[in-house]
Amino acid sequence: MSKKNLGDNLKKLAEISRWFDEREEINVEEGLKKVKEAALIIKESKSRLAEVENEFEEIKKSVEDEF
Amino acid sequence: MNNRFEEPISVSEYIQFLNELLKKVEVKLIGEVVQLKIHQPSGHVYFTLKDKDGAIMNCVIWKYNYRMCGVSLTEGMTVILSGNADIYPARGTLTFKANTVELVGEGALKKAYDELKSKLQKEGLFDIKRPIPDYPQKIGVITSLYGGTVIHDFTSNLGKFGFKIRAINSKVEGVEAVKELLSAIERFKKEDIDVLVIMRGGGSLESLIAFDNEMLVRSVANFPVPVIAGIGHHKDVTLVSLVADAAESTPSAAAYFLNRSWENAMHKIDSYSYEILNNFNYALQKTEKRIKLSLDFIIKNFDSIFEEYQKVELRLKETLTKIKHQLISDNNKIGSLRVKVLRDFIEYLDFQKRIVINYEQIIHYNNPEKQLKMGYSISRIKGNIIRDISQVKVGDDIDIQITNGIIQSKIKNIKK
Repeated sequence: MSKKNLGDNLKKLAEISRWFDEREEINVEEGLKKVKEAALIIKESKSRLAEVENEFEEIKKSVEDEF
Repeated sequence: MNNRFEEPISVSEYIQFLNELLKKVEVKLIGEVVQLKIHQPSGHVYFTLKDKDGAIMNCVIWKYNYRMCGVSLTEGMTVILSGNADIYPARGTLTFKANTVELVGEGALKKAYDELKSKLQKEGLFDIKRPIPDYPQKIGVITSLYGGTVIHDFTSNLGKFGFKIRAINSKVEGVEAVKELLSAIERFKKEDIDVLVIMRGGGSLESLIAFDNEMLVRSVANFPVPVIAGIGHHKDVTLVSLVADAAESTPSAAAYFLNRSWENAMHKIDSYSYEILNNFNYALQKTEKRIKLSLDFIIKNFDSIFEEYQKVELRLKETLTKIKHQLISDNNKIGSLRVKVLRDFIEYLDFQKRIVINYEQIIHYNNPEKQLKMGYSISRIKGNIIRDISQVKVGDDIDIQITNGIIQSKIKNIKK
């Protein structure tokens, strides 16, 4: 899976979530595929959020230093 | 010379003796011209001079002298010849050799004067006038230096302007003067002069005859530098005066003429120096006045200038204070914005985190594996999930999917 930005990842997760909501009859295999895809996206999103948080901490520090 | 001959002498010797005597006797003969003949191509003029008593004498005037006299001889004309006689040995005839020939009588002289004047006028010779240079210094003078007051009148009236006078003496009276005047002009042609002055006192038409001579007139016209004529005259202006670049009627007037440009220069210098001093004085007074006015203005306006300066200083201070406050305010704004931005971003990040966690939970709850692991199973008949009891009947084959496999079963009984 190609690495996407956080916004794209959240969109994708929303689609998967909607997919589960809309299904009256769940295809287990199909559901599993979606779960696996969602698990990967969540992992990547968490990692990206951690990165962003770190970057933000650095920026925050430099901004505070300036003032 | 011995005037007595004891021994016989030859005719030739005797004629030679006589000719030597005759040569010493220069005379003026008056008479009427008859039997005139101009020999060609030599141009010498042969004629007979006859007096009232009928006496005659053979005469000749050589071409050069004839031309120099400026007289056109005609038969019947009364003339005065100057020269001397000699005997032509081959024929034993006596001939008077004239050096000059002059017309006799006012009428004849006037007629010759008018004719020559008209001829030269037609040639335009009197129309060409060269300007006399301003501030001339090297002056050539032709006049009779002895026995008259001309040169004295001239020099005593010249101003003290550093004139350098170079004078050549010449006869100025009668036809004989022509030769000397021409010779003097020729000599001056070789000299470095600014202007040539030809002078003599006044006199009758007859005495001024040299100055009406054609050769002299043409020589003056062709002189390389301007010529001033200072020739007095009784009635008719001499032709030399007419052809000269400037003409004055007396030597004194010629001197005044030469003084003129120098005197003008002196006047101009006086006038300029007066003008310069005046202007300078005026400029000084004007500047002094201006300085005084400026000083008065400064004194009068000093206080107001100072007050104005204070006002400006105050305004400047106020402006600087405003700028300072603005800077502080802007800095505070930036500080608070910074805090807001940081806080907003933290909130946004938390929100994003919560979304992800939310999705994680949704996915977790929707994971079919989780249900199966908990012991739930999915029953299918012919591939379709059994959601209603009516889908099946006793004896049907069904598949039961559990977490780690599928149980193929047959329905024995149905309870509703």
